[in-house]
Amino acid sequence: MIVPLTAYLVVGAILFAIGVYTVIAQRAAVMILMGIEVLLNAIGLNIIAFWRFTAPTDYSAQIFAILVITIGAVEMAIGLALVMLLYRQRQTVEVDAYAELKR
Amino acid sequence: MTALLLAIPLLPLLAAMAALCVGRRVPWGGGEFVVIAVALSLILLIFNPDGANLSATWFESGGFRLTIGLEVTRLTWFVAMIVASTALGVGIYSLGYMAERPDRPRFFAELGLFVGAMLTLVLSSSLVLLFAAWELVGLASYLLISFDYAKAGAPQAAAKAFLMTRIGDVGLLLGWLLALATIGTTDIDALIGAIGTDRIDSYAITVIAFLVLAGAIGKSAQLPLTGWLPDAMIGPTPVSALLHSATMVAAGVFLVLRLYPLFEAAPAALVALFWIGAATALVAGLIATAEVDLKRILAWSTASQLGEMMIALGLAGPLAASFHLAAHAAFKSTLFLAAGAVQEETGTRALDRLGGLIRAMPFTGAVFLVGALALAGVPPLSGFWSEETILAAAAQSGVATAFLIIALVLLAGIYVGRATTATFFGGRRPTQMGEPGWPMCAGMGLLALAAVALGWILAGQLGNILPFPVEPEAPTAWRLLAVAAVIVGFTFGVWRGLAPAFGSLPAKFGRGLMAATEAPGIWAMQCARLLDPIEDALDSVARFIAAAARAMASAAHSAECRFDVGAKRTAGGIWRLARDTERVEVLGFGRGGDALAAGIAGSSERLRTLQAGQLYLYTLALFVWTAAALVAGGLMLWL
Amino acid sequence: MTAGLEIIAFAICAFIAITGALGMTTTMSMFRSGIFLMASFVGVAGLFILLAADLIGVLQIMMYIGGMLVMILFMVLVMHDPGGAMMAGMDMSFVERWFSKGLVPREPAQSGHAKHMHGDHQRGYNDHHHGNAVQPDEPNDRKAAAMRSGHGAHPMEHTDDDEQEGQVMHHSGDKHDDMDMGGMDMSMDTPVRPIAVWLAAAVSVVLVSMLLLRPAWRIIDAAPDPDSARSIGHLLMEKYMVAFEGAGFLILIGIFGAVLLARPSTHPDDPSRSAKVAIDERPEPIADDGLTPLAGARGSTEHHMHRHHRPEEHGA
Repeated sequence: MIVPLTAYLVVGAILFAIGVYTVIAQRAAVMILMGIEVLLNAIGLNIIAFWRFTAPTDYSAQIFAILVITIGAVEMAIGLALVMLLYRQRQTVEVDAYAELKR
Repeated sequence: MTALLLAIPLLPLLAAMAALCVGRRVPWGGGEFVVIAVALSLILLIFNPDGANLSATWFESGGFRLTIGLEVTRLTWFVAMIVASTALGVGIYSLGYMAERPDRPRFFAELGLFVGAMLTLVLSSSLVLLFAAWELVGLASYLLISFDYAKAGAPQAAAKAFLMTRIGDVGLLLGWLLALATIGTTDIDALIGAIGTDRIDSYAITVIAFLVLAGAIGKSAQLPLTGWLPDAMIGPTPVSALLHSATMVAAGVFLVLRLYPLFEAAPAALVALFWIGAATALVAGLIATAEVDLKRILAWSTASQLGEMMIALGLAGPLAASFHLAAHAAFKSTLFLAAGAVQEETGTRALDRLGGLIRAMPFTGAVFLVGALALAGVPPLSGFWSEETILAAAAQSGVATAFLIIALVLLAGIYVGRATTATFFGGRRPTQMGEPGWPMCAGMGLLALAAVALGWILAGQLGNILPFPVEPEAPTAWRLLAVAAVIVGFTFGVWRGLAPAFGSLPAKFGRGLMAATEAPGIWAMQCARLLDPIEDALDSVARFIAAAARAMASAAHSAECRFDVGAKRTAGGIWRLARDTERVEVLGFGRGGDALAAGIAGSSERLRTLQAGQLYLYTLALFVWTAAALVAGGLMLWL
Repeated sequence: MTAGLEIIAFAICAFIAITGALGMTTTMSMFRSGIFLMASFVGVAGLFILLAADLIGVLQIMMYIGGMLVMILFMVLVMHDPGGAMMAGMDMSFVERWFSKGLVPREPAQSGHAKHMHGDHQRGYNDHHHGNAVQPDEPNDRKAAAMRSGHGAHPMEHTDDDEQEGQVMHHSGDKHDDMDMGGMDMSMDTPVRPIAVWLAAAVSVVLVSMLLLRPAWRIIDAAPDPDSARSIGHLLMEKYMVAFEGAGFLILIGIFGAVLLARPSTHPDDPSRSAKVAIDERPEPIADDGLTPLAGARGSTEHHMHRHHRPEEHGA
């Protein structure tokens, strides 16, 4: 491989950073969830890059990546359902309005 | 008749009260009440010869039974008759004696009191009542002696008489209290009845007898309590006649007679009685021969005659004593009344101023002469008969006693002859004076008659009247000797006249005797005066202690005040300290606590913002932590 | 494949991935951010394929784009401001502005919308905004410029956004009103944003430094098996059966949960109930987009279904 492992990992790092920013700084709940997607992407990229460069014959890493994706999907589904419920309650998607969930 | 027995002593008392109340409006000043009452008492007494007894229990307490009552025994009847008769005569006399006096109701009241008390004393069947009457008689004597309270010396004489008899009364009181303690009752008959039995031992009897003897000595003016009798002559003559010649002074003799079984059981008392009586009789007789005052002569004579009675009693001759008691009452009162008449008419009693009154007062002189002869013992007057019986009793005891009686008879003749001569005979002072009034003459006359007749009447009968054994007659030698002594003595007295019979020695002796008998009294008074400084010393000591206590108390108080101040200051300081502490606590702890709480609240508020529910804070925290963990992990792994 | 091709492919894929993520974060339009996310997914998929993990790459596209992104887009369409009209007129940073090109800000709204909450702005229709909403000059120019920027997603966005643009334009009018309302702060400029930027930068720096300063990994230069799918399937069925079944079970549970959560509530006042029965009396008019209107219906019921119903908002 010409492109070194480090390059992939750098990309993953940058994606992770953007995801972190999104999760923290966004005020819309769906945006936060999208940021989580980005994070999961970065994680998956890291896994596959490491697999490719360190243990290309052992496909366990890919299975792990599949699992990551799967669980990310489920989490997304639940999260969006929750966001929709909250939207019904508060008539807004701003997470600032979700500060008092006791209501 | 028993009920009327009560009336005998009560009548004079009631008359006394009547005289006191209404005497002013009555012509004789209440005297008629008294005279009538005494006459009635005499009549009642005549009709109550013997056996009447009226006694009752006064009260019982603690085993002692106090009785009161009146009893007419032969002895008490006899003496009561003497008292009542003499009182009647004197009463009649005093109707005239007090005729011109404005305060005679008081006199008659006191006289009635005396007569009633004397009758009670004589008729009493109880020692308590006897003693009460004894005291009442002493009170009456005091009142009567000082009747003329304005007269110089009268109150003093009365007080002297009262106090001296009082000294004897103490003995009587102790005597009957002892009898009560021994027997348990005050009944005289019970006492007499118990003498021979085991209820009283002889020692108690002797003590009682001596104590009673002391009372008799005081009342009868025996040595050493003689001094009051001559001074008591300052009272009115009826008083002297009744009290101090016939009745009150006879009470002592009566007491011994009444309790004679007691004395018989205590021979020592009889011996003492004899010696006291002998001494008194001799001394008083000697003094009488030198006295200048007519009544004082008669007073000393009374003392001497009483001494004779005591001699008779001491020689176990109660019959003789009783006879002489009766005879003495008669003639001595006669003498006194006559002397009183003389005094009333002449205004003086001094023998050196009197004289030759027979011509001016023949009746009075005759009466006086009769009495004087009776006193001397000239037969056939009453004095002769009573002296005979005394001589018989003395002869029984021995020659010396008989000679004593002879000597006494001699002395009596001397002084009474002297008195008679000095008063009525001689030609000194013929003055213009007449006989006294008829009451006085009547009284004098009555008693003179009694003085004359009593001897005859009683000479052989006395044994039947009185319960005492009759003494056999004295041997004729003694009787003849006695008669000779009478004549010699009387003649000597008459011959000597005014001058003292035996020179001035008796007078000196008399004065010495008086001083001797007064000395204990004076010494007692000085002792009493000595007590005053002791008392002052004690008082000052007590004051000192009190002052010291007070000083201590004030010191304690001041110390306490200081403590109080100190405590207040301490309390103030503590309070201030507490206040400052409170302030520190409020400001420091309170506000500090508040500030702390506020700070914690504020910080918690600020911390709360971390959990404000803002999602970005949570995610931020999460990723900050993640980054830190990454850094830490990297550092740990690769460094 | 040759080295150069590999490098170019890597560069392009990496660029797409990063730019997509960045665009997703910074654009004002929710829909655009969804599309940008899709672009990022595509770029990552390309990287996966470059790494000879073709199964994963394909799975990436299928699952992420085909599943999650669709979900996200549905959500965005229901709730959010897909056209970014609300935010478009606000002060933005350079990056945001660049990614938000072509968005039409909402015009100042009428007073009747004064009481609108944030969510209501999605559908505050007014007739006379139509005209305004149609052809403002500059936003269109911006749109055109955005089309020219080379984002593959834009034409798609525009064609999809035709209907929504009216809304967007209409909605943008409310912006100032929203601002004037003061009910909720609509600003993107949250106080946490600088911190988040710095944190992200720090995280990236940390990771990169960790990479650079790492000890050397053992790099095996073996070529992966092209037939990896078969091996993966075998592995799933044999070695990782439990994990596989577990994941399946988890999906099942997730489905149940999502359905349960998204059910209409039994509470009578719950707004979800209105979804079944809500028929607006006066539905918001659809912007004139040049198409022939459908007969009868003045707006799709489906459109209104998720609209938040507040009858009183229709006041003038």
